[in-house]
Amino acid sequence: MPTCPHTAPATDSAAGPLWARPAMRAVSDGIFRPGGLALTDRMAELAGLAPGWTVLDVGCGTGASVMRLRQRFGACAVGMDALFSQVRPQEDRNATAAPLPLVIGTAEHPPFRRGAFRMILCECVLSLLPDTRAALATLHALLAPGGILGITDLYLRTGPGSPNGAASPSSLPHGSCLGWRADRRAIAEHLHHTGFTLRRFEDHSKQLGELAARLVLAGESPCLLSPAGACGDSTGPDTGTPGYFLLLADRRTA
Amino acid sequence: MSTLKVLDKDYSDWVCAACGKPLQPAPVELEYLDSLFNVELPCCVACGMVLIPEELALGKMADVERLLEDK
Repeated sequence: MPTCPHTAPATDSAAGPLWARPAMRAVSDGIFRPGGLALTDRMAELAGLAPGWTVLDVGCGTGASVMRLRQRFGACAVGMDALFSQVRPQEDRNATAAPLPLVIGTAEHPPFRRGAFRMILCECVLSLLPDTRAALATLHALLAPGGILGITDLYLRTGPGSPNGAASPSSLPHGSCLGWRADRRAIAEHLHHTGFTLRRFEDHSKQLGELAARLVLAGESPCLLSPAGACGDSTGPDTGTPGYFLLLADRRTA
Repeated sequence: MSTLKVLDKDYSDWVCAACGKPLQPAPVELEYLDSLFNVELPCCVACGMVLIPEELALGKMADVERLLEDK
């Protein structure tokens, strides 16, 4: 099976994840995901986020979204990330972290009580977690009744050789630059099985293309955000088209 | 958004054919399909003409075009 020659370095533990690479830091201005704060605002507005809402940002990174939600929307927002020391240079932490409630924790074992939040954001994080449904189940437990989950992340817009765009994850090559091989249908199924009702799904793939373009200009391989086999090898398998989505889902009560 | 350095090679020994003045790195806005990118490119200090080296046009810029054209 042909593979992208740049896939291995991109996923190699020594090279680190995409968000930790120098090119990402050069192009992102501290927000390591497509769409930046504009999509954070979009989620908050669609959810009707009101002042005083308790909001958790899972995988908060630099804390930029937490600060945004507190300053622009008046939310009681807190951030959680497993890797503060890797995500943020020391000078950044000193400059902006002190006034923000950011804690170290993982989506699998968050240091919060059940039902503590009115809304949870998961921005470009879910695709990095090893067990999607386990993570969603944990987030469901952290939400209060009537709570809202907001997710932005990578997905497969069109599947490999599928006329209706539904990808079969098992048919995609492992080691792909598109680490999370889920399409819209699979994502909806994950949500349904973990107690969520999908309220809204929007495609924001243009934002992914622009971030990928900036990364290429900064020196990264164009293969980095492409499915394996799609980098200059037209004879490779059709592995689908990567995209970027925003969704809101409501916590169902049992 | 910060200005990206997109060239590895030094073009400071190049001279503008129209003005005879040297080229110096300067911030330039590249626009393609409604997307805007701030990059640093060699520019004539007199007339402002921008040099887009062949390596950039056929390399990174071609890759970016393909990405934005969704191909």
